[in-house]
Amino acid sequence: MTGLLQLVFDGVVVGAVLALAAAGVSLVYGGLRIINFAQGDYMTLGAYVALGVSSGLRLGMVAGVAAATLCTSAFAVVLEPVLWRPLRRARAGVLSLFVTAVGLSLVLRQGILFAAGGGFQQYRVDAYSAWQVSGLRFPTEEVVAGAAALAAILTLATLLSRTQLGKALRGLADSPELTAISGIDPDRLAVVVWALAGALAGLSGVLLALVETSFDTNLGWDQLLTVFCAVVLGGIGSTYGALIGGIVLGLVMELATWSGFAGGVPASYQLVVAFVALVAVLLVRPTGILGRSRIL
Amino acid sequence: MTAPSPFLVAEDLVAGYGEADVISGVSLSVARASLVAIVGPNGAGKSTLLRALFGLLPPRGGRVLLLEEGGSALDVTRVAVHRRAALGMALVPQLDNIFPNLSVRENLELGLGLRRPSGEQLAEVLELFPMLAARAGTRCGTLSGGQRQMVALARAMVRRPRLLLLDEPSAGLAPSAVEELFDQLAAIKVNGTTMLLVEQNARRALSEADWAYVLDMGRNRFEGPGPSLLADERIAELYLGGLAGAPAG
Ligand SMILES: Nc1ncnc2c1ncn2[C@@H]1O[C@H](COP(=O)(O)OP(=O)(O)OP(=O)(O)O)[C@@H](O)[C@H]1O
Ligand SMILES: [Mg+2]
Repeated sequence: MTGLLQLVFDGVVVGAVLALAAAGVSLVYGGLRIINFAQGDYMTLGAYVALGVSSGLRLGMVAGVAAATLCTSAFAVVLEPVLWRPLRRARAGVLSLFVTAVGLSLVLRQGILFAAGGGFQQYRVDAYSAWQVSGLRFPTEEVVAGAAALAAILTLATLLSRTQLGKALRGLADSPELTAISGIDPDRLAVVVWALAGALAGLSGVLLALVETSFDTNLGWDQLLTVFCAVVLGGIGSTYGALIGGIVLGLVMELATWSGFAGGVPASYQLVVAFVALVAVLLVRPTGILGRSRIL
Repeated sequence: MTAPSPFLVAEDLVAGYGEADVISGVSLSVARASLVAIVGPNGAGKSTLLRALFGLLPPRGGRVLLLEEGGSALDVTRVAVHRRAALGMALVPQLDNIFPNLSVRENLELGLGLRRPSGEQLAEVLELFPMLAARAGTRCGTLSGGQRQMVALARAMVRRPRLLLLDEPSAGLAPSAVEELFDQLAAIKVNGTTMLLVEQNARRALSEADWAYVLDMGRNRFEGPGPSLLADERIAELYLGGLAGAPAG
C-alpha cells in the first residue's frame, strides 16, 4: 500500500511537470496550428538557463527557475516575428510549419550542446534531503517541483477561464477569423501564445531536471513523445485537456510499475504504457478526454 | 424627406479566390440608418461581397469608403480586419460566426475584443435577446442553429456598431423565429444602426429593405427600394421563384 501511495505521489509530480509542457504545445496548436516539435528542446533550454543562473552565476535555484521561465519565453517570442509570422503571411501549410519546427528542434538542441557541452549536469541542491512520513519518502526537490507545477497549472487555468485575454486565446483556437472580426489583432495574440508556451516549456524543463536530479541536452527531447501523448490524450487543441492529460499520463506511467500490478511493468517500458493508455482512451473517446470534434 | 446620406459606399469592387473573380465590379451605397438588402441565388457572390467589404478578402480592385457626417471619407480598403471594429463596423459571417467552445456569455464578452464589456453593456444586449440570458453559461457548440445565429448577432451588437453587415442571419430559423429576428433588426435600426443584410429569405428581406440589390453571377442586376423590387415581375420570376408581390415569408 505504501508502495502504491509513493507511486501516486511520483506520478502526480511528473505528470504535473509534463502537463505544463503539454499545455504549451496545445496552446500553440490550438491558436496557431503549429505542431511545436521544438517544445522538448525549449524545455531543455529552460533547464540549462537555470543551470547557468543557479550554478554558474551562483544566484540560487529560485532565480534559476524564474530565469528559465522568462528566458525560454523570450526566446519563443523572438521567433514569432522572425520565423512564424513570415511563414503565416506566406500561408505555409501545417506540414511546412511542422518541418520548420523539426528543424528548429535540431538547431536548438545542437546549439545547447555547443554552448553548454555534453555530459550530465546537476543543480546545486541537496539531492538527499527528503521528508519521511510513515514509510513514504518525499524528496525535497520533488515536493517543490510538484507544488510549483500545480501552482502554474492553476494559474494558467485561471488565466484561460477568467481573464479577457484567456478568453481571447480560447477564441483564437476556435476561430482566428472571428477573433479578428471582434477587433483583436491576431499577431498580438500570437505573441501571447508564444510567450505562454515558452514560459510553460522553460518552467517544465527546469522542474523536470530537478525531479530527475541529473540531465543532459536530451532532457526535453526524451520527453517529447510523452508530452505529445498527453496533448492527444487530453484532446488536441484543448489546453485544459492537456493539463489533465499530463497528470493522468504521469499517474498511469508510475502506477504501471507497481509490483501489485502483475509484478509491475519495468520502468523502461513507461512510454509503451503511455501509448497503450492513449490508445485505450482514444478507442472510447476518439477526441481525447476534453477533445473537440471540430479540430483536425 | 431629406436625401439620405450614404454611410458605406463600394465602388467597382472586384474580389475572388484563386484565379477567378467571384464579384466583378460591384458598386453599392448604403444610406445612414437604413436597412439595405442584398439578395440573389446561391453562389451569386453575396458572401464574397460582404467579406470583401469587411476586408476578410482583400479586394482586387475598387474601393470601400466610410463617409462621415462631416463629409470626410475614409477609404477602408486597406484597413486591417481587426481595426474595423473600432471604426464602428461589425460583421456576422454566414459560417463560423460563434466561438463554439466558449459559453454564450464568453462569446458576448469577446464582442469588445480585449476590452471586457461592462455588466450594463451585456445586460443591454441580453435585453434584445432574452432567450440567451437563460443560457449564459451554455457552451455555444451545444446550441441549436437558431440559437447560434442569435449569439452571433448579439456578439456583434455588444459594441453598438454603426454599421452592421449580416450574412444570412435567418438561415435555419423557424418561421416564427424569422419574424422575431426581423423584429430585432427593426429595433436595431431604430437605434440608428446602418445595416447591410444578405438574405436567402428574399421576400421577407425585400419587404423590409429601404433599398436592395439583386446580385447574380458577381454583378448587380437590379437595384431599388425593397418593396418595389418585390413587386417587379421580372425579378420575381428570375429570382424569387414565383409571382410578384406574393406575400412575404
Ligand atoms: N473559400 C472559397 N474558395 C474558393 N471559392 C470560393 C470560396 N468561397 C466561395 N467561393 C466561390 O465563390 C462563389 C460565390 O460564393 P459565395 O459564398 O460568395 O456565394 P453566396 O452568394 O454567398 O451563396 P449562398 O447563398 O449559397 O451563401 C461560388 O461559386 C463559390 O464556389
Ligand atoms: Mg453566402
